[in-house]
Amino acid sequence: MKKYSLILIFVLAGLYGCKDYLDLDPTNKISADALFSSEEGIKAFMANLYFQTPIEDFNWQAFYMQSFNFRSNNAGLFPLTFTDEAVNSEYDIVDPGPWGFFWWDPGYRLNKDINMLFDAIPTLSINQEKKDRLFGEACFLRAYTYFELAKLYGGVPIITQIGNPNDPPTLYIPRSPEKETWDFILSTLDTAIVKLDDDNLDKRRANKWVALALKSRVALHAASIAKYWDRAPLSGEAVDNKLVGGMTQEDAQRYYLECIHASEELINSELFGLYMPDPSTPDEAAENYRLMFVDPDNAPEEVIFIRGYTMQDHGHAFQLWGETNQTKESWPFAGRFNPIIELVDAYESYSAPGESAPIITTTDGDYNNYAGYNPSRDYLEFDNPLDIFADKDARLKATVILPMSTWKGTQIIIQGGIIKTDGTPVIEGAGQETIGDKTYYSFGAADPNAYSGFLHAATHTRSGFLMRKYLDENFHPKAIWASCTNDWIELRYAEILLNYMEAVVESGQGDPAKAEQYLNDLRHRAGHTTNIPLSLENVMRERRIELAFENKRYWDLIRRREYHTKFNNRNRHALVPVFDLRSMKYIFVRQKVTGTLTWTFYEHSYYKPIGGTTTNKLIQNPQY
Amino acid sequence: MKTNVVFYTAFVLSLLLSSCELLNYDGPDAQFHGAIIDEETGDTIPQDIIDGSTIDYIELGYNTPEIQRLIFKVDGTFRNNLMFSGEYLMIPTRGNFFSPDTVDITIRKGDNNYDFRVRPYARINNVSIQTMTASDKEYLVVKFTIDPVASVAVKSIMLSVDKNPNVGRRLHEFFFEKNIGTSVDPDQIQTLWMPLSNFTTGTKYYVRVGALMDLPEAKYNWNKAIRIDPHTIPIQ
Repeated sequence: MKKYSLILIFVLAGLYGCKDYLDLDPTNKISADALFSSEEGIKAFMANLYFQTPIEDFNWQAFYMQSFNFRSNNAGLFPLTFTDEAVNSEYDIVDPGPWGFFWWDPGYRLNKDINMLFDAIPTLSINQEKKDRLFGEACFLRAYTYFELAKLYGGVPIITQIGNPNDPPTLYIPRSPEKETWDFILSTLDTAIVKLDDDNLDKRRANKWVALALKSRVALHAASIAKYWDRAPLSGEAVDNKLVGGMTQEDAQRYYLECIHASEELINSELFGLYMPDPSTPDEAAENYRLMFVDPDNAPEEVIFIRGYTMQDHGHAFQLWGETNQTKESWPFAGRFNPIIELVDAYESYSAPGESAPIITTTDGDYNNYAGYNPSRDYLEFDNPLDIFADKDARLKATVILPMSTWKGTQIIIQGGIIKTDGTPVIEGAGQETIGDKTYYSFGAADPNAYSGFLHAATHTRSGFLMRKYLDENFHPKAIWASCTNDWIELRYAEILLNYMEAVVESGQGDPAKAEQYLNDLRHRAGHTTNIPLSLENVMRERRIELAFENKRYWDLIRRREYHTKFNNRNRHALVPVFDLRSMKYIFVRQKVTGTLTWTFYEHSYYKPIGGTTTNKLIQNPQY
Repeated sequence: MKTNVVFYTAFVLSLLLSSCELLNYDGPDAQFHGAIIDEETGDTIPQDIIDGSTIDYIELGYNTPEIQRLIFKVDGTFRNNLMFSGEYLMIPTRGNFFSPDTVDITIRKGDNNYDFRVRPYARINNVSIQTMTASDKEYLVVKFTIDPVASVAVKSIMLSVDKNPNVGRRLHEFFFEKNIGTSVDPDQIQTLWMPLSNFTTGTKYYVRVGALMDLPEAKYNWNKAIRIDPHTIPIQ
């Protein structure tokens, strides 16, 4: 009996535990009501939304199930090294397959937060003007979110209400067709454009012009997919339901026109322009171009939207990975971004405007020969290794560190070998020869810390080039991850001009004369004096050069369906400077980047796999 | 007291053990194999081992069946020794042949054989391998004809060489891919070549030539790999 009463007491005590007085509000969190009741609260909430916004900046990590704001050791695996812009000196990746570009869960988490904001706006105690602005900002953030989702997955579920866990149909929302998804993003941006302020003073928050610039980018992306889907058609359930693809040439024309209109409105506002449009020399052009990326605040007329970094330890690691081996100081990692010769080739020369000027290394002029050093070929000889790049577009030396050029007051020694006096080549291997009292080393110096190339260590370039764009000569690496604090330019005027040109040339709509003028404005800013005609080839070359390493190339190859043809059993190539001890001059050898693979981009990789399709009941993308 | 502890421990353990019983499903009990066969000639259709044609299949009897996949060996046969007996819908697809209709296949316990009979996009005929000299260099030259069953343009042709018998579009030590972009005649001779200096003397290599037809998601149509020592072929 006594035992039973004991049990009874425990059971009663258990019931009593459900009394209200244990339902305390957590003291370390702010409730939604409290957050949205003050302007400071809204500001804090907005800051968090902007933080989550998928801006493909220095912290965009598309490998190993990561996505945005990756601020610790990301191995330097920036998506720019997946393209024909650069290789990573340590990890050779082109298509990370299902391991890359994970943003399904984070994307819809952000979407839910944005939907919370939409729900809260009508209840806020602020005036109508502020409500409109906030509503416009919410539309902008929603469009940004869906733009990233559509780029990665094609048509996605459009969820504008917070689902009710007790009402399953509100949770299981099927994918919309790809076309409807693009239309939804564009119409959401249209609302944002109407509701947002039209000053562009705070470049870190959305305003009308940021929304217009984003619309120009979104419309061009949608148009390109509609136009070029047939270059790499897919099949399967997702295609049958038009969840990917399924757009017509009329859709393409309509999207191109949307791009043209958005770009025109921004251009015609005359609030923006190119930074330093009128350089007197190519050297001045190169310095102007470099300064813009070191600190975007230098170029307020060109910059439309920035992601800012202020706090050390909460910044990014771009320069930590990008520094040269000679200037990395006590920091152990460097030299990861190795621009490849194909990018360097693409830059025009001043003497032959309007075409790429490949680096010619031999008298036969055959720049497609990547077989390595061959003593029977006749190599061009240079006293100063920089002479081979002498005539190239100024943006080249502002974008990459060329072999033997100066960085932070140090000559960056990038040398891949020597030809000994008896004619024996020592290329990408250790070797030396003493002539008189001077010893010549294959890598240009005896101590690995005194040179920056070809050691086949991750800190040394394998391609013959290193990154200069975004890198700050006044920055000294500290042993802290994410200690770089220069800002990222997400949208700038030059991109809008390039979007306009491409849309005009691809669709035959808009004003070709203006497009041609913009093309030559951009080239003029880079020190060119001869105008070239508007053509698709000229526009795409200009885009590749002007926006190099701005994380646009990956999407250009995707949206134009060029990845699988550009990367079909493809190698990426290096330019190896070699010192010939017979003539005491430099020669250059074009060859495969040592240690890299032959890559193929598979057509199904144009769309990424959707996560959790067994539970969310969505139709998976083709071939996953 | 001690017996109680032993008793309870034994009781809890027996619960834990018995609770696992429901999860003990039977393992795979069937083998499924066969080939993809040219319905006209009766030959198997050579395939790629990487990024080649596939058989998509679903097992019937589930609410949300996952699409599963079988791939082919280079000789056009396939085999899965870890199948479950049951009803399946299968379709060979994204390949170098016209996809047939979906077929309903019952896999029984034990050994199952099924051959898919399809029309290939193209056939590679009259393959001959020679060596010759041109401007002081020696070349391995492969000549062949393409029977374009699908009357569309040939996108590209390819010579692929490796020591591995699975040589193909993505697996090769040396390759030469040439864009064509037009339709071809069945008796038009195609020629592909590569320097003989590529090959180590005294080593045997597998050689394949193929044609990629200009159709969505098409894969190369190949000949059967030929094993040769390139340096033993007399120079013409």
